[in-house]
Amino acid sequence: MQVQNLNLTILLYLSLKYWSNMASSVIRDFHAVIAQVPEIKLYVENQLKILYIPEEIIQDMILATDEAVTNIVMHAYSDLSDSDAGRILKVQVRTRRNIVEILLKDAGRPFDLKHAPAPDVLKNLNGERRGGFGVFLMKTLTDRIHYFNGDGWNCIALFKKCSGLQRS
Amino acid sequence: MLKTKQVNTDLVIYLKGRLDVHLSTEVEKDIQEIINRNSDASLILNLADVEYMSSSGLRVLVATMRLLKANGKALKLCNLNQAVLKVFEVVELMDMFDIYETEESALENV
Repeated sequence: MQVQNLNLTILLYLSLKYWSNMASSVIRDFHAVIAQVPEIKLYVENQLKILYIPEEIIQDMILATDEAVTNIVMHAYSDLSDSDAGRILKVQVRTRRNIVEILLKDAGRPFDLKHAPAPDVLKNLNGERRGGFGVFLMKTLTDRIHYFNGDGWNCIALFKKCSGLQRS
Repeated sequence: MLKTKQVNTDLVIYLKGRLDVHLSTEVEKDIQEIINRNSDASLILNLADVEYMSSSGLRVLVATMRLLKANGKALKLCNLNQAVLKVFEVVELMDMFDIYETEESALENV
């Protein structure tokens, strides 16, 4: 019995410690079209500022978010017209311990970033390719990217380490 | 429409704003029109008023370079702020472009 109580106490302590180190924004829905990209970036920027994230990390995360959102708008929903209500993008900003996390959820065509080819500027200059820098930027500016797909949703989580985070 | 300035045989184009996917398509179209109207000119893109650039902006610059190379003309960039320079550094494109600190130094090296 005493061992059980001790286990429960440890579990409760760890849970409280875990949640006390976590801060989240509300999940906000956006219409995933090009015209909304500036507003999505502004939302992420404001949420990161509320969470006292240092400016340098904010700038990296905004650019990484911009690239991820651009991919969603341009490719995941390329078969839907701009006015289609199915162009949904859910955005959330979170911090946990020393990690900043941006979650992007869309219902478009699945695309695992792992399969994106590396940038090749010579191919761009030869006209064999347009773009190709976005995924590279995302990967370089963040510490980790996690992608998963399920129940008709694609989820991209962008992670970046950030020391000395404060609770909002 | 983008602001331009003719300096001898060269043309300076002043880019402005946040070069993300929202603005880049329009900027690319404007630059292409300017190049078509001034096919003998080399270009200097002054980015002093570009506060932010994503890969969409980068794509416009690469496409502009491609267009000019096809015409045998040069492209130079100047007045890049730290945020924009960082994008070039991250994607390792510093060596691909002629980047100058000021418009004057870009014009001197034509």
